[in-house]
Amino acid sequence: MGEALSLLGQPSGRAGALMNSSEELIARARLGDHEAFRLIFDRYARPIISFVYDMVGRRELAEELTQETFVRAYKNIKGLRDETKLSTWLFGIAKNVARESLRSRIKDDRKVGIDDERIMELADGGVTPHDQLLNKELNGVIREALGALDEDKRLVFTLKIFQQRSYEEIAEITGSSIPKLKTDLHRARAEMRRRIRPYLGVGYEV
Amino acid sequence: MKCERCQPLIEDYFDGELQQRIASQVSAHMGSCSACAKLGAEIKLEREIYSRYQREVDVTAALWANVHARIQEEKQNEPPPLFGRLREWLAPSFSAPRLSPALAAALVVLTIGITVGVMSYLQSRTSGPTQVATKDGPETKDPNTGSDKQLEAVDPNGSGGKDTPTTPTPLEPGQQKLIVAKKKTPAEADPDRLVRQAEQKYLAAIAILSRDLGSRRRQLDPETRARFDFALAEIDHTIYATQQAVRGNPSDPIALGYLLTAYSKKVEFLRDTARDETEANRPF
Repeated sequence: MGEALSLLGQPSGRAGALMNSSEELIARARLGDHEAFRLIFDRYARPIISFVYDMVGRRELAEELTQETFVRAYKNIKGLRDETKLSTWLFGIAKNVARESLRSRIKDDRKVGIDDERIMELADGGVTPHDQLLNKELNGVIREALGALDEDKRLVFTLKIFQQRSYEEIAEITGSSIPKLKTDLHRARAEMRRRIRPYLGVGYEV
Repeated sequence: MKCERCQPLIEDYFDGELQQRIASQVSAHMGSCSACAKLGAEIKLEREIYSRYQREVDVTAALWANVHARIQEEKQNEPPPLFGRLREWLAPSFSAPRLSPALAAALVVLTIGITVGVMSYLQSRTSGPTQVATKDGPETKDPNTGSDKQLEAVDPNGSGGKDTPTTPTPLEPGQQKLIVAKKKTPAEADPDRLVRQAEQKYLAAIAILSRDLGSRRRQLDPETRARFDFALAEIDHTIYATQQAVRGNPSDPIALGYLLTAYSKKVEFLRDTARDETEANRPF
């Protein structure tokens, strides 16, 4: 994690370039502008890798699938019809890539694996050791709960709760109807709630 | 607003999915109803917990480096630009270093031969089982010349659809090519006229084959249909490119040769597909 990139920490030239609109970047990337595609990557890599990780539950696999997502995006960027929907388009590719990976696993291994031994070492500044421990534990609980959801529910839950996409966007990404999405999301929330219930109200008073 | 109406909306309220007017009603109700306010507080707390969720993944320099490497690899594996691809694809048909007008004329004659074969094949398909039965029969061979009898019916001028063979017995394309080439030598051919004639023949053959295959296309399984459509689109794209090239230089024998060969590729493709389909559907 030491070499993690941060959008805020990038050189000023790049930060300036980040002011480019998605439409401009897409137009340039279509013409083979490598830097433009790099900027698209910088802008969307974090949400995409988070989404893929939530779907597959394994770090190395999530990295590999994120690479695949961006390679596919590069190859197909000429086919992107609506430049205003770049992020939806990227999430759509990521969803396909993640689903292909999940379906290639054998049935018994279908549930997302949880990397129990690799609990996050990231620590929030200003939190007490008790809170840190609780955070780690809770991260593990959430990962397990996500992994226990079926694929459709996990997909809509991740896109709605973690990526904060609208129902319209999720419908475009998944190809599902909005009523189905709402039903899946409601059920996913209920399942997740059962799992995290012990932590509700413990050190997390709002 | 009543609790029964409010409670199912609380999740959407915090997700920002409600219209302003309804959101205001939900907010007002939660302000006056302790049960709904409690539910709202729980949902809000859940959201807070989820917002703290941290994953053990991050965007690393290595991630971009790998994407970059893969893209470079993809670029290297990309097919050459259209014209290069076209040359590559058609190279076997044009192995001679330069095409003289006479050679181009010979190619034209050759492609006409293919067309005649296709027309014969089509006739055989529509003529019923009698003709099919004679296809493999020994009586189709002329004992004196060793050639196929029906070849005598092939229009030596290779002209339009009206003059297609009157004898519907099918021929092997390879055999026809040889015979037709014998009947019309490159020296006798007028390239421009033959090009137009050949083009007309190809278009007629393509129209018939496309119509024939079109009705059966829907019965193909999705994967085969997708492959068929993709191959056809590629060929059509090539035909369009060669048409543009001919338009730019109408007297260029190389461009003309490419155009006719592109047509012949489409005819061959359609004919082979039709033949495969017929074979596949033949009862045993």
